[in-house]
Amino acid sequence: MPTGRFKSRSYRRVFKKLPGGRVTLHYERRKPQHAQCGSCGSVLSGVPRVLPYQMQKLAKTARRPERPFGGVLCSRCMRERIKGTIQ
Amino acid sequence: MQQVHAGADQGDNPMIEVGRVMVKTAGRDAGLRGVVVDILDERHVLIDGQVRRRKCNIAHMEPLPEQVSISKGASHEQVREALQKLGMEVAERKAKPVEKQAEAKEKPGRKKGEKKAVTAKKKSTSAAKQKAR
Ligand SMILES: [Zn+2]
Repeated sequence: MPTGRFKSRSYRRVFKKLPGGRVTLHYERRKPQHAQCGSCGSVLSGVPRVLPYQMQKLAKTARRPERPFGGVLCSRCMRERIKGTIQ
Repeated sequence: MQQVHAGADQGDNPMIEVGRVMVKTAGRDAGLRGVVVDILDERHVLIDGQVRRRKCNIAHMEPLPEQVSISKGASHEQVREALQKLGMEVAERKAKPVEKQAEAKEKPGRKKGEKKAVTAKKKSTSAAKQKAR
């Protein structure tokens, strides 16, 4: 019998094939949602869709685009915002 | 009709000229200000200032009403002085002294810094030990 927390579907089930040929069931956390633009809500590119603890293992430059508002706004919204601050 | 032409051919944009102050709107330097230093072709210009001195697509920047008087192909120092007159702070860029450049060529990847100096020392000591053995 699986432990109580594994009975609910908040964990996804992954079938792993072992070296001996036996297949076992592993439980893994589900992936988080895609990062979204804070202004228009479109999916951000350049932001990996991984669990927080995996995100911490990445380099800072691998976590988000290297530009102002990188990882917060999409490039279009960033551009509009910068044009809006002129004058 | 005129608007269509202006949008289709940015090379004819009268705002784009040597000495024009502009804001970069794309990439790592987005939001920083600079000056058009040279016009390379209908679409690309050379920029310098708060931004890194590099080729830039006209579509990736926004011209400002201000202008500075610099000559075509002006150096970073000249651009810096011109922008400071407008009240824009530009960080000073230190040029590498000739001697240090020569050193860097001899030992690639080594720069002035404590950590690297320590590793260099370690290397020298280990080399000395090997000689002793
Ligand atoms: Zn957006």
